Amino acid sequence: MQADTYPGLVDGFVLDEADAVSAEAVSALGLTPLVTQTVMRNLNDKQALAEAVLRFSDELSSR
Amino acid sequence: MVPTSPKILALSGGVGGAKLALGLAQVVPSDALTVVVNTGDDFEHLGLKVCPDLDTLMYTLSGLANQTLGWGQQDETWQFLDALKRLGGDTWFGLGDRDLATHVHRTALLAQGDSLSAVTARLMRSLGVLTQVVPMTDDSVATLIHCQNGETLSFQHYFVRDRCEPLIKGISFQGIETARRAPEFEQLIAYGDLSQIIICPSNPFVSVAPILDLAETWKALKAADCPVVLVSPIVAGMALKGPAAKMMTELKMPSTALAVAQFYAGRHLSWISGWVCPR
Repeated sequence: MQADTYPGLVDGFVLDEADAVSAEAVSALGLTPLVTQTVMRNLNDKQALAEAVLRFSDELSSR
Repeated sequence: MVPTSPKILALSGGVGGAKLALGLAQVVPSDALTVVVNTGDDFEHLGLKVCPDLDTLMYTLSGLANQTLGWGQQDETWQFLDALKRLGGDTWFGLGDRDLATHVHRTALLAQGDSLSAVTARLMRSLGVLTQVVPMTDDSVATLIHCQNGETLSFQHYFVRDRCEPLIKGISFQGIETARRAPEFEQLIAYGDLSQIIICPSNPFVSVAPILDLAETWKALKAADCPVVLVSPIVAGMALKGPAAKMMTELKMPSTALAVAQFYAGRHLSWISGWVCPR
């Protein structure tokens, strides 16, 4: 079966601080990385990640 | 068609996606956010239509989610399941009493001829969810798990009954070739002024792929005049929830955030020799 997945779909890739070492490799794929805390243990974490993702998306829009 | 105001579109599976959807719902106006939810996990059980990912969104956004179990409703009771067990019924799927009411009511409304998206909107309103939550399709799409032992399992048999224990070699989506996007989803893609597209931290293979593969949605999203941002569901080699990391290993991918990025970017395809999603 074909397995071409989704080339060109994703512009920005959000990865956790624990995976920061991969940011450069993500960038090499043509995706803009954002390293932030992504584990959502409580409502504050959920809101913080949502705000970070929206800011990141805005930044990508303005490029 | 009248143009709509700019919308944030979030794609979500169950628990991980619902967490970010709740965060988004807290920080943007309710009329600015639409969450499109995977329905490949849906199934019929005991004659009832069960939509696990939609219900996770509904319970999470309404504040009713069971934080201890990670699924179902808080303050759940189990008298129905206990009674069913005494009768020798099928109890592998944990239907709590409160949760049961959702499935009974949904099934009754569907039997009256309402679409899944209409029923979903009604259920969400009933529980006070203001965010628009839309099933990806009103048509039937079933995620099938192809196991290394030659068996093919429905998703809930793999996920719940067999606790993700079978080794997998691939995944496919029965019905995806003919399924259409739900009307609200179609309208958003065709006429909506999308400002942001967010792929929530959900399983790439069984939660996000069904949405992206449905009616070539991924191509429509790629063509939209706004960025697509994806949040990795893998952190430090582990899935935030569910079997994503285990699946990656069995599909011969490293279980890393980078491998998730590579999967979406369509690189290093030799890893995913087991991927059988038809396109």
